[in-house]
Amino acid sequence: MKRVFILIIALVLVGIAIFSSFNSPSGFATNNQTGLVTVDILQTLEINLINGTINFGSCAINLTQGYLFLDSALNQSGANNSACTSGVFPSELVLQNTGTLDANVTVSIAQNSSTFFNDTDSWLAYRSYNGTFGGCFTGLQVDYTNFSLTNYSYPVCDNLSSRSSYREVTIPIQAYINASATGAGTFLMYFSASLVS
Amino acid sequence: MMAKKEKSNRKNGINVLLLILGVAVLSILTSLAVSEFFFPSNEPFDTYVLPYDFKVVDEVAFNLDTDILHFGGGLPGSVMERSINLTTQKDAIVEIQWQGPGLITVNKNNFPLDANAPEVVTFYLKVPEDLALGNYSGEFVFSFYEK
Repeated sequence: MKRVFILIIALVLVGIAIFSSFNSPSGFATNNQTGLVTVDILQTLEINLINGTINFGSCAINLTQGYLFLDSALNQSGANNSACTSGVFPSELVLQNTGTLDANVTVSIAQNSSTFFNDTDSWLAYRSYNGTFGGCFTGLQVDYTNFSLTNYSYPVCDNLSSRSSYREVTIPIQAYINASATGAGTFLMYFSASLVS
Repeated sequence: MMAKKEKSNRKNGINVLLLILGVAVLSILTSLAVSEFFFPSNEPFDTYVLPYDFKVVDEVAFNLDTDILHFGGGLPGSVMERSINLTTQKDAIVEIQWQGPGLITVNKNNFPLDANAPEVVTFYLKVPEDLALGNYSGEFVFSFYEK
């Protein structure tokens, strides 16, 4: 009897050992209840502008001139924005840092200017500057730069401040459309922000 | 002699009682273990709730803060993308659910996550075309199941 009893005790202990290897539910609404899980939010953010805030409308190219030069900000003399109907001018993209961390901002494109216009002489270009609430301390793209490269991060601002009053950077767009350009559509721009290192 | 026999009977009685008790406990534990083995619990062993927010604005808004998942802001139609590093100390199957505004997709779901092998999970939020200007928020719920 004594031997049988010891055997029973041993089996019970094994049973407990097996059972304890299974985890009981930890509940649903509580974070990290077992302390096994870690979530780190990466300090990068990408925003793809599908619906652009710059709309040049429908534009007719004066064949005598042979091209169309458009300036979304209407700052450049010689711009032919009046040749466009239903366009909205002046019009610029405003980027704002709404967080508490300073950001490095770049822009990239899905297709380059010449592919977009089906013409190697046509182009789309951008620049960046501090507007009324400008907060870009370093790395503005002062001169207009042609969007000629895909898989490339074009600089917008190296250090966009997160200070409450001055935390914006402004981007106007210019376009040169040659008479041989064809097609119409939306030019996609991908903005990316990362933590200032 | 009589007293000795009585004492022996009592002892045997206690032993039988303990034996029955032991068998009963063993049966209960064994059945629990067997049922857990063949019909594992579908409850997660851990969960994590991660709030998110975004703005519908007529500009592009960045927010790199990490207190919650900030998607920033944009016009209706804009797509915002933000990633996290997910780590667990125990092998798991991770299920991600969400509730709240925005058209959300995630680059992986119901995926295996090995212990101490961080995985990047990327969330995409498209601002619905009919969403009015304003601030919006919701939450992601991560459920970690036995692998």
